[in-house]
Amino acid sequence: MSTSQPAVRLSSHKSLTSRLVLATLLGRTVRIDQIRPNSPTNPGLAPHEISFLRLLEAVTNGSHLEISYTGTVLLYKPGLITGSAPGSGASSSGVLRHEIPANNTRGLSYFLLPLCLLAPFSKAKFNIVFTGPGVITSSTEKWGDMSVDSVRTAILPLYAKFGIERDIELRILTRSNPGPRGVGGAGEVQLVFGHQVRLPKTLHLLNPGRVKKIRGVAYSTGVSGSNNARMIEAARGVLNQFVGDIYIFSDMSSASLVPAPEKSNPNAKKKVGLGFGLSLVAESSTGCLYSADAASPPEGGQPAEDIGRKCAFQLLESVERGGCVSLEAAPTVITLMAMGSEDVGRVQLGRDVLASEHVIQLARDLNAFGTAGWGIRDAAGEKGEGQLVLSIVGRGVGNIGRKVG
Amino acid sequence: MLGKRKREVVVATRETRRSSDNEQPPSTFPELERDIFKKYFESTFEPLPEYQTGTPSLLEDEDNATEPSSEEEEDSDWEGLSEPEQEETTVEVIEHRTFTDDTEEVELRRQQYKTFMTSKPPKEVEPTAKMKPEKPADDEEDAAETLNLKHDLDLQRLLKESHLLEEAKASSTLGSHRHKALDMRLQALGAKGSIFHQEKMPLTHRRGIITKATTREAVRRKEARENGIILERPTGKSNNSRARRERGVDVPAVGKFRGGTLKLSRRDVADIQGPSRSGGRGRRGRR
Repeated sequence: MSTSQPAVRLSSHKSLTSRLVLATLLGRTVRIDQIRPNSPTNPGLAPHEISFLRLLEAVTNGSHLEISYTGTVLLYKPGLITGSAPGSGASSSGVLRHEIPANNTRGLSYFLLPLCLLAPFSKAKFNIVFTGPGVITSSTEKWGDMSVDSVRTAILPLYAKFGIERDIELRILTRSNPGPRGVGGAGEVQLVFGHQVRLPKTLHLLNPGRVKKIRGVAYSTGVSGSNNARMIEAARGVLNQFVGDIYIFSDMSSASLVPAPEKSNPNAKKKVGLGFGLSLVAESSTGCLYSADAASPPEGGQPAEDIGRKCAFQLLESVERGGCVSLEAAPTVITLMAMGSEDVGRVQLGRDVLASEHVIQLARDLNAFGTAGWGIRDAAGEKGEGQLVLSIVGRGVGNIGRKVG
Repeated sequence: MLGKRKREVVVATRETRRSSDNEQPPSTFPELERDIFKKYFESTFEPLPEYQTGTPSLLEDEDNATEPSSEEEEDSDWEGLSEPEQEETTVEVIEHRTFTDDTEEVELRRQQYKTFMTSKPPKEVEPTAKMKPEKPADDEEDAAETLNLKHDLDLQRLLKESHLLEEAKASSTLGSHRHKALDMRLQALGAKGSIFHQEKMPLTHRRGIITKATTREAVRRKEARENGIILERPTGKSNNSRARRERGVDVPAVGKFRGGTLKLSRRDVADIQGPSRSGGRGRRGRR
């Protein structure tokens, strides 16, 4: 991995994961400074970012990390993506356990989405179990992270369009909502990503189609299962008039116990991760997916009907934005397209999706890493009114460029 | 549980009606005849729907009425108010039962659940694949057709397996021919290989078998050619070397990596350098 190229210099803590993923995929050293320099209480890298760096180190071989004393500067030299090959961090059975600390506030999708981007370019398959007192499987209100259900039902199917479809599993072993004050949770999730490719296929996604079905999962953890029924009823009340084919499934589980030793009782345990939420996915006739997530806030006080209705409205908003790719999935799709073969891939996006903060930041980062620029034009036809066609040239390195050179 | 009890009630109605309130016995001839027909029909087919809707309600009232009366006998200081009223008024209970077949709906829901709530990313469900509506085979032609097909199948099987029957007459072992027939049928249905195919054997045996088979085939073909018989086309081993082999992800795209060195053949080098043009600043070829 001797890159003679100089390090890419970036600043601020924003979209750290996507920058690190790009650095790893493109094999460029990256130096990120000014990571929360002005915060008097918590300067530097946050717990979830540190946890992600550890995870990145676990799935790669030969990567090098330097964090400054205050944590405001990060230097990352990427290594090879090895996945969870036995012997390199993983157990003998090839399962890598990643423990997320209790002070994590992000939903698990924060870790899952970048990891799924790395997995197709790995040497061995990914088999990672996320455990520990910080795993939040539900969506989080504060950060806008999607739930693990939505990752499985709205993001992972998109990989099939790039020719990556075999042996992909996302198993929710234990559910958890955010703990008290939104900190921690005690879920358990296993990610198996066993389809590695040389290059993702070139994507041409130009027809959004019409929404034909809606699926969803209502989950409640440690609270009454009637919340599920209430959320489903409220959501259906909104959506029934638009689509006939709606199935929302209910999943109820008990909250998991984590040890909370006290002075009088050292064996004391407490329940964390109580709450409920709803994840909805709308699928169009051409296989485009729009997702929405809503979950009860950790402080409570919101009835299940409100959550259900809110989620339904969010889904409608996501459909309204249009395009073939929803806002949540756009960074994943764009990154995979940029890593594809040296060919022009096209995707139709809603104007608001392309103009969103994450996508623009991603465009700037890709530019900083030296990839080709994007072509943007208005979509043709009256159906595509107000939508844009984004053309991206693949980088053509894929999985093998780093192996030979 | 509730529905079951109610059905019992309904059945009981007819009995009581016939025995106790015998105001209008089915004495008239057409009535009687119809009753006989009805009985016969019900014995062979489903019971006919009951048209007298009032009766189950009556009986339910009776049922309700008897229970409090028995309670009354136990504690006599409370006098039932309901009894005299209930004799006079008949509460009409109308039961709407939907006889829609919702097994299909349940099946569809189960299928959706199975596809959506697994740990894998959900895929399309094809309800049409499994839930083909059964064709009503009422047509006489269709019935004949199916029968013909069945006979055809039987005949074909007989022709195929007849040689086994001959063998079976002579042989002493019992089950072996049955097994052979079964094996043939499995192969006809698309099994990968024969169950009698021995996987492990000494190499010399294997070679012997293969050479014997090839020579036998060659001889057969030769004789056929000499006699002017046209045989089927030879089904040689499918040449799979043409198909793209799926290689490991960590192997280099060019050359061979062996012993810590990447060895490039002359062709590889030429391939990388591209067509040599004058000036030497040609296209770099593939990287």
